[in-house]
Amino acid sequence: MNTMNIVRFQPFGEFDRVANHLVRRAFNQNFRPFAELEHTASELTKQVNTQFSDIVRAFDQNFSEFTSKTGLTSNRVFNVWSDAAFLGNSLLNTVLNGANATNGEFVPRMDVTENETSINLYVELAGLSKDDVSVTVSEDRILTIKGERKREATTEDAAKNIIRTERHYGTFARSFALPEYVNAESVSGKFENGVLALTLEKVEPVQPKQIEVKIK
Amino acid sequence: MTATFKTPHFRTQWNVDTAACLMPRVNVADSDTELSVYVFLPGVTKEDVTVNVSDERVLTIKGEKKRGEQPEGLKFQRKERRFGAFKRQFYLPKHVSSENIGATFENGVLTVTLQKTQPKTTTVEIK
Repeated sequence: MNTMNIVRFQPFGEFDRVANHLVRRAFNQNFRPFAELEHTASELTKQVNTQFSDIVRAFDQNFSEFTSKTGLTSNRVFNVWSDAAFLGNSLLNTVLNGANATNGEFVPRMDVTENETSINLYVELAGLSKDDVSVTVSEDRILTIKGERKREATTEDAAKNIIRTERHYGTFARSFALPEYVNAESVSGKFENGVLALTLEKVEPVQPKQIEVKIK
Repeated sequence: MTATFKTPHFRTQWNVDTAACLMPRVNVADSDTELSVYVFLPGVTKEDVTVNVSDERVLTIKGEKKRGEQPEGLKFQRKERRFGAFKRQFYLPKHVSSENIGATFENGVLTVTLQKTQPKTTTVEIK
């Protein structure tokens, strides 16, 4: 999960022209907060109907797994089409099973809203308690929400006779690169009616310093 | 046993995500004395859910999932949650009583508990 930075600069590493263009776009005006893992998917989102949102969400999840498993440099994340074939199988699973059914994981639905002073995240986690969820912000400003959904506490007899089960159980994790105008230390959260609400305070973005280099 | 907890209108788990109104996911567990129905309703308050059983022994769980107040100037960066009316209906199996139905709501999970009845057998004496 640590390798999921949107763009990890390699010092003096040279980008090819396409990648360079994308990197510039990501960093300049088109940088959309909370878009890191769906950066490629966001282009698709425009084309794909909302009823296919599960597929788009699968992209999110699969990119995270893909990069974390193989430790690829993040330049690769931009290359949708080469990865698409790799994803094909799990995407099919997704369509058939509703949510991402690979590795027993699921993707909780979430809203992210933004107002003048803060960014708010709402994650649907019905049946979980406060202790089942962990929210962390790593040094490289990646917000990770993860946890595990366990089966209901039922009697042994009941557990043996499950008549209908539509719910996905298992572990989940969703990660986002925080935009620069968010104070990473200000994350606060509360849990109410099965919805985890996180608040991130906004701060004035730091203007990049310009350093003049004198050429003698 | 599995056949006794059918949903009316042929709605099955396969179209939970594509139905016209919201169809919250449901688990049903069976024990010796009772049948527990778990309805997953994240973001719904207790007041917005109704549970009832009709004369035809159809259990209806319905209500509305409200988005709540949205202040002006609110921008959405991500919109994956769905809001609106929801409804699930089930035929009660024969061995379950349509009375003494218990319901609790905790952490966005509605648990409906149905009591099982002992099958009555009447022996007819042959004279």
